[in-house]
Parts: sequence; C-alpha cells; structure tokens
Amino acid sequence: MTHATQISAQVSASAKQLLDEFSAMSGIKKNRIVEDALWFYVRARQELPESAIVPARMVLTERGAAAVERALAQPPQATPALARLMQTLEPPDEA
Amino acid sequence: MGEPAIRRLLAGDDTGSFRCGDPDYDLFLQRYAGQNQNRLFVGTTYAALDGPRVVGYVTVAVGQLDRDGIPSEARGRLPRYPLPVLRLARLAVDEAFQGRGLGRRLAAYAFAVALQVRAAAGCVGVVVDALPSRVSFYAELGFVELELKGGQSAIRPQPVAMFLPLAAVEAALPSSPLRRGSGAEA
Repeated sequence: MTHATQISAQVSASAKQLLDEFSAMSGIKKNRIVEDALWFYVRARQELPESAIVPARMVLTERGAAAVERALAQPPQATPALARLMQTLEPPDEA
Repeated sequence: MGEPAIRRLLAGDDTGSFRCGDPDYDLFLQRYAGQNQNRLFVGTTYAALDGPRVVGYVTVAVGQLDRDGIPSEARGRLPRYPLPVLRLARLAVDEAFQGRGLGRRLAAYAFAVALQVRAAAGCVGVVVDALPSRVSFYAELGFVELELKGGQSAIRPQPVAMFLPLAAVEAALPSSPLRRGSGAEA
C-alpha cells in the first residue's frame, strides 16, 4: 500500500459544504474524493491549455451578486430581441 | 443549400476546414472540443453541420455562481448555496456561413439546452462569456454584466461575463403567455 500522508488546506465554505454533502450522499470518503478530484484536475490541466478550460465555479463580487439578485427578482419578460431569437429554436437532440 | 442541422459534436465530424476568423476558436474546435466532451467530461459542444462539415459550434458547460466572502446581510434574498447555471463558453461560425443567422440559431439551441438542464438537474440561468464586440448583442437579449472575482474565462481578449435568468428564456418561447407582443413578429 502506498504510504499515506496528511494535508490541510484553507478552502471556501461552499467547497467544504460540497465535499461534506457529496461524501454523505455517495458514501465515498472525503480523502478519496479529494485525491480523485486532484488527479482529474491535474490531468485536465496537462492536456488542455488554460484557455480551453471552462471554469465551473464563478465567484461573484458584491456588485455581481446584486446584479444576479435583481435579474432573478424581476418578472420574467423577454426582450423583443430574445423573443425573435427564440423563434429560430429547434429542439435539442436528446442527451 | 439547406439550413445546417445542429446536434452534439461527434468524433467523425469534419472540423479540419473550420475557419471563423479567430484561430484560437478554430483550434479549440479542432483539437480540444472533443477531448473536453468525450474524455474529460468538462463541456459539451453542439455543432452545426453542412453535410459532414462543421460550420458553426457552441460549447456549454455546467457551472455555479458563488458568493463566498460576501457578508450575509449583503446577499439580499439570494439563497446562501451556490446557484447552478449553464455557461455558454464559446460560439463561432465559419466565415462562409457568417451573416445568415447561424450564430443566433446556435445561441437559441444553447438556451434550449439550459431549459433541459433546469428540468433535469436545476439551473437558474445562462452565463455567457461575451467577446467585447458581442456585449451589445447579448445586452439586447436581456443579459446583464456580471462582475466576478474568480472563475473568469482565460480566453483573450478577455470576455465579459453576462447573465440571463432562464425565466426570461422561458417567457420568450413562442407558446409563452409572458412573451411581449411588440417586435416578436419581426
């Protein structure tokens, strides 16, 4: 068996929450999730240039959060341009 | 010549002759879009095809909007947990097909994918990484600029992150009673 060692790291509260919840839901131990995620991440970074990676997590500033809150709170009206755009819609193929 | 059909990118699709005017977007399609989708599962590309040839594409990935570090009193009515979104990371059309509305069809297709994601797993909106020259196009659709302190796209020139709630997309569907009458028939 490979010798195990210990690390500690400061992470965001949401990352910790995600780890806790996924571990509880899946039954996979947290150290295994972290180790697997690290391998996936490093592999992706080795194979793809930075510009080809789409960051999954976007962290809002206070102003950004306010913009999202306003957009979500507004009545869902479509602009004329969006209505015209959606006229071109064709149903996506099933995944 | 018929309208190019749009579907998920497949391994045998001809991407080699794609030229959109930005070599970075050509290279992404030819070298990385398939890897992202089929081996690393970090994004999906939908291709517009003229026969076997890809003449346009849109790449999307699931993502989340996070508000770490914002005091709870400043978060307003937003929930404290991350908000799931679909990120429209790249959209490009071959030079021979530009000016025919294909980019608009690809954008509409991506929005429809977002509605599917919402139904299947939850999604509050679309975030687009808009090139500076396309910001006004997305603003007309109702997108608002989004100030980020992390997770910005590494594409150059630096895109502008913009957000549109999916409720607005739903309201724009031809069958929606929330759709505005004026301009929609143009």
